[in-house]
Amino acid sequence: MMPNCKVNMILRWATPRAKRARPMGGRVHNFCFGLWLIGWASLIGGVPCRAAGDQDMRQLGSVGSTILSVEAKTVKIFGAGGTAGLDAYQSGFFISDKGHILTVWSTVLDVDEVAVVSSDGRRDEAVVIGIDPNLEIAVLQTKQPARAHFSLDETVTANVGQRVLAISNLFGIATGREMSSVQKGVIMTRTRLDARRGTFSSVYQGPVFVIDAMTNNPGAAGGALIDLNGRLLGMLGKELREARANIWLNYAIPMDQLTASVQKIIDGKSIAKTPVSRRVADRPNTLASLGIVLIPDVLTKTPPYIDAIVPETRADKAGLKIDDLILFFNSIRVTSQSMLRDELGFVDRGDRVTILVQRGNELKEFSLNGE
Amino acid sequence: MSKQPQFDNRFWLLRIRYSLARVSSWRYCLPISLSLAAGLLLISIGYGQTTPNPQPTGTLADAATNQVAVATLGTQSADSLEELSELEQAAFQAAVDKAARCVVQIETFGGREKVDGELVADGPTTGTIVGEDGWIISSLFNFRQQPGSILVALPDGSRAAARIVARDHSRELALLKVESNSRLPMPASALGERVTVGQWAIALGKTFDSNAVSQSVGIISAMGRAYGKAIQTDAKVSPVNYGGPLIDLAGRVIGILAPISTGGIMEGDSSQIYDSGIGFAVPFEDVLARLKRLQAGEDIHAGKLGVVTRQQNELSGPVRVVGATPGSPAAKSGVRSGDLIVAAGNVQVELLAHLRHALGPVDAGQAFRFTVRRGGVKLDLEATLAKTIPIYETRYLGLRADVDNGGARITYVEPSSPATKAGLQIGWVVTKCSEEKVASPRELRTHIAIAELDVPVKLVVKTDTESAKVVSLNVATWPANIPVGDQPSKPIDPNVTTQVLTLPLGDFPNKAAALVPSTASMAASGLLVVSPEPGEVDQPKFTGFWESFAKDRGWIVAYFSSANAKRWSLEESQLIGRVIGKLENSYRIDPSRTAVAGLGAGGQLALVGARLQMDKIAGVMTLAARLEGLNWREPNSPLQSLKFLFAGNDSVVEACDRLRKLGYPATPLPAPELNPGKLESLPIEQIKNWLIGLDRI
Repeated sequence: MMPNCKVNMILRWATPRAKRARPMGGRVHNFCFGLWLIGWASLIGGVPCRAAGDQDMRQLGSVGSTILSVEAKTVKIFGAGGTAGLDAYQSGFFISDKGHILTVWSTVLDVDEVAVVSSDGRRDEAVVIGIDPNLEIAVLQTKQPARAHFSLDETVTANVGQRVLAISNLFGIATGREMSSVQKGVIMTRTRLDARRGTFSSVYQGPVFVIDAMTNNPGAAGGALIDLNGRLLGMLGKELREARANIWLNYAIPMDQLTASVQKIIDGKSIAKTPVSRRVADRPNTLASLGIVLIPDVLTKTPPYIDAIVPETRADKAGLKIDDLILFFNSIRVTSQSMLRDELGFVDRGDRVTILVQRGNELKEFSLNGE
Repeated sequence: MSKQPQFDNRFWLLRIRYSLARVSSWRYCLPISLSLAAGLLLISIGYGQTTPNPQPTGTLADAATNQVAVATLGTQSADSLEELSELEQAAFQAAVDKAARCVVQIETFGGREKVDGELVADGPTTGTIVGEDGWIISSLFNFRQQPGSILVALPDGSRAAARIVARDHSRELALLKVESNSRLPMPASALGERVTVGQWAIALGKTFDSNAVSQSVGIISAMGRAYGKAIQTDAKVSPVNYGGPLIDLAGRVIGILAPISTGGIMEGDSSQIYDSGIGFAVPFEDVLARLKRLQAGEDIHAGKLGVVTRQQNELSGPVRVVGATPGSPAAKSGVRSGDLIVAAGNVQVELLAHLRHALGPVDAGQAFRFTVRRGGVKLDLEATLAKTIPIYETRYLGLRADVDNGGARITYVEPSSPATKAGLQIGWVVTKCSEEKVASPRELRTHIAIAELDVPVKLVVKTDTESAKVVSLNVATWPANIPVGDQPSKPIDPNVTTQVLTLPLGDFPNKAAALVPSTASMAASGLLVVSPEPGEVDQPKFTGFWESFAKDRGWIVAYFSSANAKRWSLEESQLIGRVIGKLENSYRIDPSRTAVAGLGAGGQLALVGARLQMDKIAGVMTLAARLEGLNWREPNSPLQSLKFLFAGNDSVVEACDRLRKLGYPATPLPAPELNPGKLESLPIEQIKNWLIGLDRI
């Protein structure tokens, strides 16, 4: 019982407004994790420096100076929200000396002016100068020029396994002159947020860095992902639940995916929303058109076992047989009959398709010619 | 040393120094580490250029000495940070590259959409090769939807159909077999190497990509977790790498990542604490030790002993045996009531937790040796642990007793019960039960609770005429019917009054009150805790309804109301324990007469709360509660038992059946007209009779 009590107390303190259901234990530990990371950073950065004080020690401590230099480029953003489970804060960072700030496009920005607070405590008003609805990013501009900023020309990309730092105002814990929180981690993998069948509930569909620091927390979106030398790698994404593993995903969008769009916004060009949904083909394939009869679809995820093959049809000619279990259609994994039907519809009957089946213990691939 | 990637000595120092930074900053240890670091730097004067031998693993102690060397190293190195992080990254990468080929992606097809009410993700999962000829170990978590088909993406890029050959339910692992013509690459194992807390550990998974592993870097946080079954790491462990390996810096497998249920450590579903800084891996050694059995298709289960101890709190000791569940390995081992367990496996047992830790890693079917002290003599006993302990059904004699001069004086004998059939009379005092002394009703209750059903129990009783009459009788199982109301053992005192107390609940905002009869300050009382429908409780109406029961039977009746007027939250189930605790502070509460009642939506709360308080209550009743989702899994046990009464629509019968299968006495009370919002619709006579009957022996 005790861990739960503590969890609840911390949760009440950290997120007074109940957000949507989420794995509580993980979340709270994330929060503590964030706290001790700050401590970690100060230890790595500060202690050897101050204890020894000579030149060589400073070199070992230069993660600390990296953090200090990057902190000056990041901001805490405060705007609309605070009710109905929506947070009123997020993170962002300067990308030009003219006061341009890159952040995520969210309901926090649903006000005429948002408050932007730098790590030196300076408060500024900023307006949204443009958004990219496909990337869900926004560029803000402050009235005052920025004192320090990342340069879009100097962004780098990261390798899997590379050590990184994430800087954000997660949980809105930093206010006023307080610095944003620093988390360390490695790039776990580079993967795509894939829209197919709602795998991800994200508008952005491109590649992301998955990181093993707990950044998927309120307020972290818009934070900077940097390498140990302080170079910008990406921007922390919005809170997202990943459907492949059904977990909250800690990720950042690589800068190479953002730079062109950000430049367009700064140049005053507007970006239209491009539809992402796939269209049903003009002459869609159906099970009947292929000559396949499946076992009765009685479950939510009935496996697509073939119950009968209509003679002289495409399926028959290709060599599909009764009791084959269809696993892949055109290299797309189909886990149920309903999914197979949907996928069939996206492909025109005139096109050649491939079907991979399991027959007993064997896997067999068949190619079905177009009509 | 030869197995290490080729890095110079300096690299190890750098690596170890970082290990120290991580270890010492672990959570709350910051101040300690600061002083440690400062102290070491002082010691470093005079340490000179000596560099210690490279270490394959960085322990805290190693790291502490090596920190000093790093300090001196700085003078030799031109740009140490860049070099450090490059070397470090290269080391991680070398380790990952070495192990990556042995990590496979697993795809499942079909199966249930939801398990335990939670949507199952159908994305790819991870496995680790453990046999060249197609053996792959993975986490059971990855197959909980019971997929119709399983495919494994092999290192050469081909896919092969796989089947689950066996499951290790104790460690949440599944062994798969694929038919493959090519020989699969085997991972190096860290077998025989001492895994030390503080050393680097990398968690690998293949959910995101069938061609490349995902990696999370951390350290070993602890050994022997989850009752000796798991290694703990702060590398991020989640469904994206369950089934994958946890490797050391040499790319050798330390363990297999799995969502181990930590039992007493944390509440809640083990899969809910992913990515939390607390991740688990089953030691690879333990996996390999069981590989032959698994390959032969043998499922592995946690071994159970079935010994019954007085303590339920695992931090209490010494471990005094009260008995053994009839038919269990403990019963067959010859352990006896009164024995003191002093050692188990190779460890000393002082607390119940020690015994549980010794039992944790032992599988069903394996021998478990333990030592008991019996009357000053040490005896070594051995039991072959079982997968399940026979279902225990609550025992019943049909009498009630009071303390009397070092015995249990019978105060009531139920008609047509074993007690009546054996001729037991009110006023007789039981002094012995099956050769064991009976000093109180509680002791008699304990002896009867663990009595075999088909072996007659011999009671020695003191009657008006005989000082040691022997009565032999057969113990029965608890009757399911509601007892016919028996008369109070003492005449009703018209002078008993009641008062209503408000109970403070600490940091909970909920309101709670108790109706307390004046007898409560003199004698032990029964206690009924009511969790009503959410919303305000009409206190006068509530107390008026229960007043006669409280007065006549000497029961305290307490209630608490929800913080939110519309619903109960799960954490409010803790309130039941709070209320009992508050009243225990002021009154003597008889646990055999303590019950929880839930009305409507409060019913689920009562069930959850009761589970948390099993050692303090004897019964749970729900009135018009939804019982379809009843998810009670803990089987009945002799000294942590409950009696259930479910009143309401047809679902009560099915719910009772489910609990009876677990051995509990569960009584359905069909009452379709029951309205949880209206007290007057409650079948009060039956409820009272059930409550009164709770403390029968």
